[in-house]
Amino acid sequence: VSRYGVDKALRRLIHDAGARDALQDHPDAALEGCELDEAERRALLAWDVGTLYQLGAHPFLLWNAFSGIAADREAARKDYLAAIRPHGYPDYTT
Amino acid sequence: MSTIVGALGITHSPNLVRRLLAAHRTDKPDELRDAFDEMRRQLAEWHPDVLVIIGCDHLNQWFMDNMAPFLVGKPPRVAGPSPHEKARFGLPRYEAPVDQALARHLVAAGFEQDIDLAFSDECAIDHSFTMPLTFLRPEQDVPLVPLFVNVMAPPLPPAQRCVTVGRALRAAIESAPAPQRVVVIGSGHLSLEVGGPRMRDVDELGRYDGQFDEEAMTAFAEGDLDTLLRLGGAGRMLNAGNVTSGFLAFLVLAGAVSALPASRADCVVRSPFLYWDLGPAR
Repeated sequence: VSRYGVDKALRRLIHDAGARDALQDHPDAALEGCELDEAERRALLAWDVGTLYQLGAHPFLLWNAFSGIAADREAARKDYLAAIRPHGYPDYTT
Repeated sequence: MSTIVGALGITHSPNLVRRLLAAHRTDKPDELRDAFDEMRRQLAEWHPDVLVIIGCDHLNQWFMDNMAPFLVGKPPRVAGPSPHEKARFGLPRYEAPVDQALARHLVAAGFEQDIDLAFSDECAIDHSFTMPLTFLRPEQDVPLVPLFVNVMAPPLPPAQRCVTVGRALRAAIESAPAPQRVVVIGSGHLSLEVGGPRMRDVDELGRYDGQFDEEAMTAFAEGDLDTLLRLGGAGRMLNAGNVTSGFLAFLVLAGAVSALPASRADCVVRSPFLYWDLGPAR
């Protein structure tokens, strides 16, 4: 598990529209320099926020990245909360 | 010798920006705009030469590749926020000069008090600084010294350390050679959850933890440092919301005002408004 790698990727996806756009078609380029294990990489590419949250992604980054790609932020909030609620407050110290 | 003539503690909630900008375009009553306006007038009456503003960075700039618990910004000028925050919150750009001499002095004087402040000669300010400054000093003319507190990436500086740094900040300002009028601004918030399971799970007043917020305001009004330190404990802050740690900026502020009772301490639209009238009027 590399929380730092996940957080680094999330921060990039928040700030870099190019990386956001490239994530699905060119994930190696979008995630270059982010050390991720296979589960983290899969979860990022699938925007599986429940898994990322459980693995200790920084909640502030995770929510900002996830809601940043959403067309409908209110719907995104409901989906996000449903996905993370079962996991309580995991430690996200890197 | 510089003098701290006043201090303010204020919200930096970016979700209030669009409301405040809209309220400034009309004459309709708006209690939040009016509260900001009162603080803006108060700040102007102090005739500050420099604003030492204690805030944070929301992992926009400072990150876990190199995270300082406390960092003084000292480039010639600072500006922000990032395009991402401008787009998301409707925040206008804010740019102001930095009082580099005072910034340097704060770092050097910190060492003399066993306080190690990091510094940066190339940095930006995010909504933690630009949101309050947009409404407190729209002229963008008073030089700043930004102090960044790591309230985002654990391990965070503990509450007592924040107060200690605030006390050192005060001593450093008072030992600065230039005879300047300094206002210290703390930019933070009370109970808050972002990205955690209780996001938007608020009471009828829109608060995440009404007891936390009320106890904090009472403690500022009374200068009750013990209560402020208790509220700033990691467990208590997490109970109040997963990013309540933004409260730590107010603990640095509490140290900088020697935990004196605030001249004003109340909440308007669940947002803290604190000020201390500390110095001789001009």
